[in-house]
Amino acid sequence: MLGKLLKLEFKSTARLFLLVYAGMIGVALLALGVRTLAESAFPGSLSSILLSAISILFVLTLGFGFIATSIAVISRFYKNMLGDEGYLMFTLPVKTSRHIISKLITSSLWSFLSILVILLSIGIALIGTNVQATLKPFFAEMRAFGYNPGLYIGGFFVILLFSCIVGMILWYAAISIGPRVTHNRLGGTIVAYLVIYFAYQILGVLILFPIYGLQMTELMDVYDFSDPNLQKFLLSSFLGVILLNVISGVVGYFITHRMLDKRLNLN
Amino acid sequence: MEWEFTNDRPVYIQIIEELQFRMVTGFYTPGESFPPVRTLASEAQVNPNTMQRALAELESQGLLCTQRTNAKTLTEDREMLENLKKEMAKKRIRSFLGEMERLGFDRTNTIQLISQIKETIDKEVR
Amino acid sequence: MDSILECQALTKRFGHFTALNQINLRIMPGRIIGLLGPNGSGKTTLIKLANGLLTPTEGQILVAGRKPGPETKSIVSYLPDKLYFDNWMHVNDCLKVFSDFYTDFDLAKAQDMLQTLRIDPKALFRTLSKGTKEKVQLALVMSRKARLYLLDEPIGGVDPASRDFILNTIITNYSKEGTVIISTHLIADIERVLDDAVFMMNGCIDRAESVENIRENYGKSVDEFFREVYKC
Repeated sequence: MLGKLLKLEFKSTARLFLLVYAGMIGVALLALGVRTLAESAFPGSLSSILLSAISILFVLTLGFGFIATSIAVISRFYKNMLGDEGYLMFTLPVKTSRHIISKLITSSLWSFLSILVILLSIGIALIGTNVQATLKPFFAEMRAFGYNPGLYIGGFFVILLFSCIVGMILWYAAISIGPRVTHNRLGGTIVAYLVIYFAYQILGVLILFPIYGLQMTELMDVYDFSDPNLQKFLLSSFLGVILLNVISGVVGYFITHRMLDKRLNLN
Repeated sequence: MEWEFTNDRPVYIQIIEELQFRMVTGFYTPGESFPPVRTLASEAQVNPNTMQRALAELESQGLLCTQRTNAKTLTEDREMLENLKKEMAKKRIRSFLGEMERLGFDRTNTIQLISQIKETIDKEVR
Repeated sequence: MDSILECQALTKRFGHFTALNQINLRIMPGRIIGLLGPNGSGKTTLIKLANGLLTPTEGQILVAGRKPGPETKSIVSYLPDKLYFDNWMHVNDCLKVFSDFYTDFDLAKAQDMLQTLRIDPKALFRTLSKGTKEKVQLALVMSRKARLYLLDEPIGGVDPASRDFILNTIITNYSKEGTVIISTHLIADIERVLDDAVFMMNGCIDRAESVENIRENYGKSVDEFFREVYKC
């Protein structure tokens, strides 16, 4: 059943997300085009102003691209579960947990893809520039002190993905609670999300404060790789964030499941 | 074939009457397979249970027979069909006479009227 | 014999509004039942509760002896009075959904019905007219060999030819193992197809009787009877 749900979910959402990605890559190509044009046509100061403008625009667009993906994920859940399509979804002989999980899996994959597309877009836009020159010494310094850059970059992306997934679960939880509390379904969802997000932040402080609070005083400069405490700090904050997300994720899932399974009131 | 039903009487009774009419007028052939419930229900646009009830009644009257193959056939008892036809005719006549009486024609006057009309029609046909 | 649908003191409230009030009902299998009543009498609410799309405020509703859940959903075929397919699906995709998730779905039968209705299976859902979309949904729902069919206003706003098609599908689809519950406010059009009539008013069941009994005892059609009894 889950497999079939996944298949259905992917097929239904592909159109939307591929559209968003195409847009992002399109803008990247545009940025690349404008930049190379500007560099060849206007050497000198004018070019750098234009370059900055394009860069800002580009970053904004990527940001919007990511937001668009998030909005797509959230509205997909809302529309498919609580809109008219819900009449089909909730009459399928499928357990509620499967519905939630299938949406989570597909949304996570699309979010992950969107991150890749962002990286790809950045890569495209930066073709021909010498970004490596800026990054190389940074990585060299890391290696010198026994840090593996790959590990930390990998860890960073793991946290990013985790936060994405948990972010979605929290929205799902808000969507499943909101309309039950007020008559204005959209308003209820947003209010519910604000409350949930607030709780998430509180939890975050509770978990991470001990780490930051205690260890921050021991660090002079976060990027001083020679400081032996830095590694401990990074590791514990990594674990702290993971813990925060795992707890929030589980709680969010339970809320969503409970609401949709035992307290469903469609339309 | 349009089936018409009035609102004041149970549908299964009206079905029985319509089927009896068809039986005595040769719409269905004696001994031949009678259409199945579902087909009749669909044709008449009625509930299959209702149709089934009507058919069961017809069977208990002896007009329908269930063969070994479970198919239903119209009885081959010509006498039964003739009697039924007569009964139906009598019923209609009684009803007609009652109506004419309400119009103000007693039975004798009614019969006179019938003779008159019969003669007129006979002349038209010639 | 066990009931196919049972309501025990079933109550549903939306805030201060009581949509269903202490409903007690027992429906046995193999019948075609009309859930009759004006708009707002609670018919749709009752059907949605049977499907698990709403949860009872008090009391309970049981389908084949169980609370609504994945098991009951596999034996219940539901036709809501709204369109529930994503507009960007093709008719074939809709067929696929049903054949993937319902073991009792007869694909050939559905394709046959669509052909009779002259609906192109490759058509994109959003290109179809509202009436055609409704027919697609009807064809899918009736192509399942379900134990309980719940049809919510299947003939409302439909042209006479389509209405005849729908009623005909219900009649020819009928089997002793299947129960059909049709909810409608258009009584005259469907009463000949019904075994029983359940009258609902203001969230309560006012009476439940067989159609033939009403005609025999009151000398009226169900429609006439309803109009008289529930005169405004």
